[in-house]
Amino acid sequence: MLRDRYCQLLTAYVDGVLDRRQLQTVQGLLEKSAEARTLLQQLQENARKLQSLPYHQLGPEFPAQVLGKIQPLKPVAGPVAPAAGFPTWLGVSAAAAVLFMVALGSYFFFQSRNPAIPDNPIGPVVQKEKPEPKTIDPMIARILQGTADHFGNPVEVGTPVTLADLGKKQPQELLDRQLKKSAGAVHLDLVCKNGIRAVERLSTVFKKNGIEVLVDGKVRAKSGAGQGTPILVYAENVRPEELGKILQQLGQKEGQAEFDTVILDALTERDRQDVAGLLGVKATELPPGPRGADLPMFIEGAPKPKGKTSGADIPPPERNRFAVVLPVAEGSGAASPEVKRYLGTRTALRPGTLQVVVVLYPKT
Amino acid sequence: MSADDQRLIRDCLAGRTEAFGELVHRHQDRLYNTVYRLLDNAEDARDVVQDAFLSAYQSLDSFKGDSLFFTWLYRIAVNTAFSLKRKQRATLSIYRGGAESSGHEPHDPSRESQPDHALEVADEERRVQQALNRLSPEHRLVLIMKDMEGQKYEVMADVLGVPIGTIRSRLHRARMELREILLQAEDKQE
Repeated sequence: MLRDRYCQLLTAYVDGVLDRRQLQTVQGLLEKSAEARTLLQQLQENARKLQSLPYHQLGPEFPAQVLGKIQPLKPVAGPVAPAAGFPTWLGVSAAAAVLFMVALGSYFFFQSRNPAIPDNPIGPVVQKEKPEPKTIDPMIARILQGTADHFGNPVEVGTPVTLADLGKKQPQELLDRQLKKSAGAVHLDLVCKNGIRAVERLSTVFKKNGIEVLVDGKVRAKSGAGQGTPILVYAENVRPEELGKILQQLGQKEGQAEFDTVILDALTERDRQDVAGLLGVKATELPPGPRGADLPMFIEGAPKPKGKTSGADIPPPERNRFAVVLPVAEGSGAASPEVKRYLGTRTALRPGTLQVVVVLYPKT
Repeated sequence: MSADDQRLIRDCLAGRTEAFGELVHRHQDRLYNTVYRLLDNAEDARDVVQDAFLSAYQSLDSFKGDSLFFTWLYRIAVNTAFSLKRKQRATLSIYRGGAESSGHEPHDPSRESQPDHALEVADEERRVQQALNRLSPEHRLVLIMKDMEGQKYEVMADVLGVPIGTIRSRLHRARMELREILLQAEDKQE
């Protein structure tokens, strides 16, 4: 088995970025190792395949379509057009020098007229320390990218909620609002450290809340290969307060806590179609559930609204509920015994409950 | 930044909208090809490129000129594409196998009448695109930028806002992962 260091050299060789010493190392390696030669050949062949992919283009009508959607900008000074032949730095320096001379002259002028004026009549300026920039986990940053405020209007990508904060009022209220808006179906994205441990932890928590979890055998195979394949969890007839409890429990630091932040969004029609495909059923077999009355704010610990549906009006949870777990980067899961068993347990969707899709994004 | 792009941006900011049309015309295909390969969907790619240009237009007065206009535009398009993938949960869509994996072209009955070589080429493209689709968006993007666009590490690092070392390691992992996926696909065929 070729050492990773040599594999990295070979991929860098394909990229054409090796220095002379590294090239000599690679040449020596290729002379001695058939495995290295095979690997290099495969990497170069794959690069060639990518380079050979056809180039896709837009038609000549495209610019007109874009222009049709924009309003003329109000004339402003272009920030990117320096005066021809006159470097910007020189102008700035000259302006700074002039200002300095004016300031110096003013100082001496006023000093001579009223020498009693203290240098700093206002008092010392207190420098407030800038708050530490909030660091965001790179995986979360990637998921949330698109809201980069540097490049135009931010794009809404769902609501992040820190699981450990779910015992506090504001994050709970945020979760309540999002669940209420979700129209009976939610999509949760969870970044986790390790896929297998995440599935185990999730299974434990689901079971504690009365939902048995069926894990497709391919999940372990995919996760064991360290491929970081996303993992889908699907459950139906989950009450909002149960989901809130599940999320709180997932955020608790037991052993190696797998989860940190959940990004919560409504389940889209596209999501529904994709889940149906993974389960090997038609999209029509995963319709939206019946909407109950306004979803009550039944996250544990949250104040119950007056005059709205109370917990007593919501039927108790079903027994023998199941969730299914399967890898995303795979063909239809219809053949797996776990998925078949899950499909056999499905019942009608009940008002006031949620269809829940959870996608786990393992870092390893 | 090219003097022409600079001039066109100046004209746009002066209220001459048609100058932006020229900028679109110049950069549309290169952007579209990248986004198409990222999303594997012609309609989505077209929408993303259009949205990227519209966002760029709205933010034109904030463009500082400290990088190439195309680099700036590219970042907007990539962020918009990633955002769309995020919204569509595009990682879920790769389950669609066979002819529908691209999702953008309906089945073409004339396929049967194409010469064998052309069919082979089309099949190869589909295999490679399916393999690309199975990579994470970050890995897919660095391979597209390196192999399909011929970008250097430094340019890639600038566009993506990461150190060159990160580009190097992402490319390494992307190449190794792509190799595994293509080998598995070949094994299945046999």
